[in-house]
Amino acid sequence: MAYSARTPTFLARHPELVDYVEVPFEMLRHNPATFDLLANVPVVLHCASLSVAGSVPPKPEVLDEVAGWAVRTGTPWIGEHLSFILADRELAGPSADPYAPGEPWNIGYTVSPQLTEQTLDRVVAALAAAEAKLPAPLLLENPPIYFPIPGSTMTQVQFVAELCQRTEIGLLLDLAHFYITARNLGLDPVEQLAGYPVERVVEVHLSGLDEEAGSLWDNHAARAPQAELDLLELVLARASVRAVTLEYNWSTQFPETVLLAELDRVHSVTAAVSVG
Amino acid sequence: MSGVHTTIARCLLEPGYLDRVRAGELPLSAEAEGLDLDRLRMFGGFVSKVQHNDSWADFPFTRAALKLAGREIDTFADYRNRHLTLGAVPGLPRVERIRALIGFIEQRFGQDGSRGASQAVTIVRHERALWEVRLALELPAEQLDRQIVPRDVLRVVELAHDPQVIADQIRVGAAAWAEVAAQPRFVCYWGQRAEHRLTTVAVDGVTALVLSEIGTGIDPDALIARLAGYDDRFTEPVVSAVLAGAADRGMIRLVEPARLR
Repeated sequence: MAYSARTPTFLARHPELVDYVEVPFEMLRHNPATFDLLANVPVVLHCASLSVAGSVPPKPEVLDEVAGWAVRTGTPWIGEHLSFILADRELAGPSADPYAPGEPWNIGYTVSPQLTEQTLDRVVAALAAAEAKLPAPLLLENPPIYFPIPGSTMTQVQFVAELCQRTEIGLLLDLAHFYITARNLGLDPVEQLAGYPVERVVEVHLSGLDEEAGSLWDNHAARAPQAELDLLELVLARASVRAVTLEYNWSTQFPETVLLAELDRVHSVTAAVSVG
Repeated sequence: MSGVHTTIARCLLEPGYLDRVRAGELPLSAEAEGLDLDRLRMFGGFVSKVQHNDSWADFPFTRAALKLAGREIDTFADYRNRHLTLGAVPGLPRVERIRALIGFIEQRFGQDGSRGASQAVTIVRHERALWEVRLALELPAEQLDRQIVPRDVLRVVELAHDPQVIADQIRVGAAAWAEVAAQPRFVCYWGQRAEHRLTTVAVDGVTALVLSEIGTGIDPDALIARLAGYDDRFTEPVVSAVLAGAADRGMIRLVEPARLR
């Protein structure tokens, strides 16, 4: 499960139900004491700071810190997003914004990049540079697409498939993001999944979503819709997935009874695939 | 590639820039031609919403009302510029961030006549009063030399509905939350430190105004002067009667005897 403020209490009450806790690097960086609360459970490190699909690389010390936490947590892999978080400020020209002049823009949230050959080349290079410094392999997570980026020449599925042709990268398949992207772009999620390099999927994320103004939006405070569980079943039939993470970490009010029900729901899918 | 990413970042991070581009006041870079600016605006709202996830524990029904009204992300999209501006203020306490957000939500609902807007305002005011009293109770008691002192925190709010009726509908996701009938009232939110208790007390308009002027403590002359400035109904006997009732209830302490003109 993904870490939230209620995780330590849940672990104390139901230690047998949780195989690992996924923790954001950014949280550990901001509050290292969080790690002390997870002494008795394996930790998987998640990251949103490397901006692998952007033109502005992270500062060297950021990569060093990620590597440090990878060692300290003993994580088997590091999940990072196929996104950009940083962008060149100087390309914007004269700007009235006095915020951090000279520093790149930092959106503070992952954004799906322009999907082109040029971006592919950048991602391949960024992954190589990152993996040279990290003690654990990276897994690349698909971001949700809320608005198409002008100039894109391929779909996200095509982009990831090509990336898998050019590298050995493993994937973190976020099924909420996948479903959101397909629906927002008017595509069929099941058809899209057929073209996705599912055999490279190591970890899967599940979370909920909202609908507003004609678009779907990620929501880690809502239950995953059945469509995601249906996709999960298709994924498990094709791939040797090692981990399924419930991302219900946006609300301290998320009921424990619901979390328990969600664990049961996922276990029923994974058990059915195993038996089948 | 870099140009379009930069444009997106600027739209998301520079207060007012996206609005000016959408209004046609500023051109969009060539690389960004075709960018869906309406969806980008909503994405900015989505990011602001997520970055306020810590606010909802204290305002669960406010958030639920926004979602049931189908305008949660849209509201945050309108709030985005303010959010960015506040984010640039060094050391701004979390309490002030939340206070600004809740004030914006109340103002937004209060300005439109959409279905559920007035009920949403009631819920926002109710939850904010509860929150403010809880915050005040966490602070050490002020030692003021005043004749009339609250025991320990009082906040008075005018509401257009019974917030509990609205909350009950919201809790089950019923569309009727937006149709709850108006039942205007004044409510005193009364916090007591030693007892760890927060109570809501319905009061009449005269009592509401008297109690709302007490603040963290006030002397009789100052209280009378303020109230007389509002309305000549607030004579000494009227105010004395209200204060005596509040004192009997334990809501205030009158340093004996309360000297009123």
